[in-house]
Amino acid sequence: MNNQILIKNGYVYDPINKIDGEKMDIAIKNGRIVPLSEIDESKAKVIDASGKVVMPGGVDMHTHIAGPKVNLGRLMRPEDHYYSIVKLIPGVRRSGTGITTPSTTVVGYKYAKMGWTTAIDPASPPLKNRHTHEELDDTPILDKAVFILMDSNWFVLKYLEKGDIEKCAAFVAWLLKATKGYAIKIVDPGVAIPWIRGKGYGLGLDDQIPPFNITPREIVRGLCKVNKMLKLPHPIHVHCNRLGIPGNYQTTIETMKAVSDLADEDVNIHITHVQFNSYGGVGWANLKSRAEEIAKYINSVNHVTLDMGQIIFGEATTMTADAPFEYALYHTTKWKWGGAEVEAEAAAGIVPFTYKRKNYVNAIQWCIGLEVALLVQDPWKVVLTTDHPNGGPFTSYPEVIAWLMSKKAREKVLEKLNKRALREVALPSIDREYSLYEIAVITRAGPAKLLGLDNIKGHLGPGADADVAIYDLNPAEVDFSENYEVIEKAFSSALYTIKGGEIVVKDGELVKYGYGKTYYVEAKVEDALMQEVLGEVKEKFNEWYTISFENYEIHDHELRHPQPIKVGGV
Amino acid sequence: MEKIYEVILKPKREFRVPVELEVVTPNNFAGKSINEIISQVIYEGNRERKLGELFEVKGEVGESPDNIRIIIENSCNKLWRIGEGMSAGEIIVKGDVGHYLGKHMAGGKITVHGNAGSWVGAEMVDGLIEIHGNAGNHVGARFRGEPQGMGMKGGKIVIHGNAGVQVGLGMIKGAIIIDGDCLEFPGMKMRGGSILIRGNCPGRAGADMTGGKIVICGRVDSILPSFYIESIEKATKVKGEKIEGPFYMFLGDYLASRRAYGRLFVSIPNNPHLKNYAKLLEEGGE
Repeated sequence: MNNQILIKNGYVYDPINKIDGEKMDIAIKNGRIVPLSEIDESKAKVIDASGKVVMPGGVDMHTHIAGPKVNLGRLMRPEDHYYSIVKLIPGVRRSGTGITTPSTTVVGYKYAKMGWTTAIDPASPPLKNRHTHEELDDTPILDKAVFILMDSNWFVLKYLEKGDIEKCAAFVAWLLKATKGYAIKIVDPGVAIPWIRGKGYGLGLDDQIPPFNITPREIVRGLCKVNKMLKLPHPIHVHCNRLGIPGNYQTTIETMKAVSDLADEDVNIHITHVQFNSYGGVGWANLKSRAEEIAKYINSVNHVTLDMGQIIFGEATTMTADAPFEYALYHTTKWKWGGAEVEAEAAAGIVPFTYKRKNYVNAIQWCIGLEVALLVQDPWKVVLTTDHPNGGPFTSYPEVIAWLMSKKAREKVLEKLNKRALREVALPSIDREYSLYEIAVITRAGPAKLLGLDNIKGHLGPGADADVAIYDLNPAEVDFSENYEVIEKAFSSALYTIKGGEIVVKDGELVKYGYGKTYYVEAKVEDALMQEVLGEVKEKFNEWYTISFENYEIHDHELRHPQPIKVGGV
Repeated sequence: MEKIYEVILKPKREFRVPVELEVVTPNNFAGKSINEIISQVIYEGNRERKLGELFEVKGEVGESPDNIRIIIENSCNKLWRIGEGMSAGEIIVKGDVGHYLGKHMAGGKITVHGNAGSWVGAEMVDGLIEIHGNAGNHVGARFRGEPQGMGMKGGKIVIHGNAGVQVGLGMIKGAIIIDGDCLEFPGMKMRGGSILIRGNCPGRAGADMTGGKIVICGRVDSILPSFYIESIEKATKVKGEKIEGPFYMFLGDYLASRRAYGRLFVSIPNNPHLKNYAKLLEEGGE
């Protein structure tokens, strides 16, 4: 078998190794990037990439592609699937359907077509994580991982209530290992607790969450300490309180400030889909953009990163573990609503939504996402996402890239926006345009680094996984700010996508598929402490759960390609 | 009168799995030669085929879809999606047809001399479908999961036999006429248009309707409790055709909306068990 590939003369963008558009050759052997001297050019398959852009495979760190709520979304939206059939081609691809809630197969193919090779599902309740892994196992091509919802977990809350951070850390470490999760996800901290009683909409950072004697602020701080204690690869992944409520930007800033004293040099909080959390004003009618305040704070500190949560005009399916917000959203759409509650762990809601250009609120939302990304100076603090499928499907990333790289592209959309909204936003006056290097940062290197996977993902240095995307773009000839259509076209269909040393996409068409790895974290905890905590957990488990403790744990053999990442801990 | 070009399709063999014939429309055939038509790709189950592999195609094809008549002979209920999205011309089917006949149809005429499957004229916009046999479920319905406002928007469906459940689900405009009986839930979630059922209906007519008109000339087992008796009418009209009564007229469905104005006409002579409603009217309401 010929497993050597040589990519010649491409313009390489590899921010982790500080390579900015240099003409270079990239050598691949046995699924890894290797120094050029190690391969035999006569045996290797040579790809001539002269006049093309070579980047590491894309890393999407926040995309709802698997799990129980995505599946509920699929069930709820048959109309999303009728006319989007991907037909079976024997030996090349399986069939599938869906636009905003695609089948597992379609997820893999569409990401690969755009040159993305790693995708992380950001929210899964621990009890249902077996299902999430089944779906991730069925998702072709991509490497994946899943973040675990912990903010409303009764055990976590009990330990944090007592201030017992060490025991909480041991529990979190066990939970991550037992459910094969990757990081701590916090969604509207504590919201599932009041939601059991039908309350919780607009829960503030300092509101009590009865029956627990604790506030969301304490949950965020507690889990942040746990995260640090366990030395987890990814900082806490926070969806802030009061998401989607006008005037919530203060809560967002407060949340970031709440953990500012816990950081030393490192990033200790990731604010996700920040667009939904940067609203000013007191009601929908006078919604304001507060992207500037958010960006100002983030520019002034080093402990925060964010992802955009950019909205795309058109159909979306909002799905989040912030159940009361979804219920409120349902009353604005009056179409469909799906809700779910997971015993002692989390809740979720699903509402289909359509973003409209002429709608004042939607127009402002569109501007906020881009404003935040453009106003934050350091691209390493920004990650490109649409919070698929909340803001729009991930297949719109090429469009977002074009908006970021070209003011002209933004102006073209701004022309058609709601006129009243335009008076309220700063976007038309922002001149910044991202360079291709910065795009490589926010779509590849940045997220890989944030995930702690920067030794194997998001770069093209020797030792990295051979995940490479080659785009038909010539940075020497094309002026991107003028020709934004070229960017959009190039990123929406990669010339080559190489995953793990195999060519999976050629000229924008899938040629082959395989299955990637699933990463999970194993944090080391002292045996004595772990035994003590597990003893306590087992005792309560029978009382709180409908399944037995022994059936809760997901074992390695249940996953297709499990890949533990061992970290130091308590 | 302009010349009508006839194209005749005849199956070459018996089909055991569904054959999807969305390409068989006057719009698609217009301006193509017979050779081009027989090389069109269709699916038999999950296998890709050429139209010519499964059908014998004869006749002439015109430039404009308006004067094309497609005749399908020896048709069977495995032929799906005939006339999908057609906007002009005519299709005549001699035999049965499968599901999705005239789905999203926007004009023209389809005649079936046999029975039809489910989803006849689903989400159609305009045109005429006439079926001389029975039809399946969801005649003129909107598809599952679609938002309000996606139902049948116009045109006319005439079924000379019986129909299944949920006739005219989510209908907005147009007319459905059923000469025989129908099953439960005719006019469910209906917002406009009219449905005429000359035969019987087991009940639950007009569930969740907020507009439009349902006329049932036969027996109805029961009226939903969310409908209120409004008056007794001697006769009513459906698409200009006078239907002799007398009828009880109900308004509803008040569970769907507090300002519902859906009208349900139910024959008085064929429904002696509903005579309590007449008493309610005499007493001047509740």
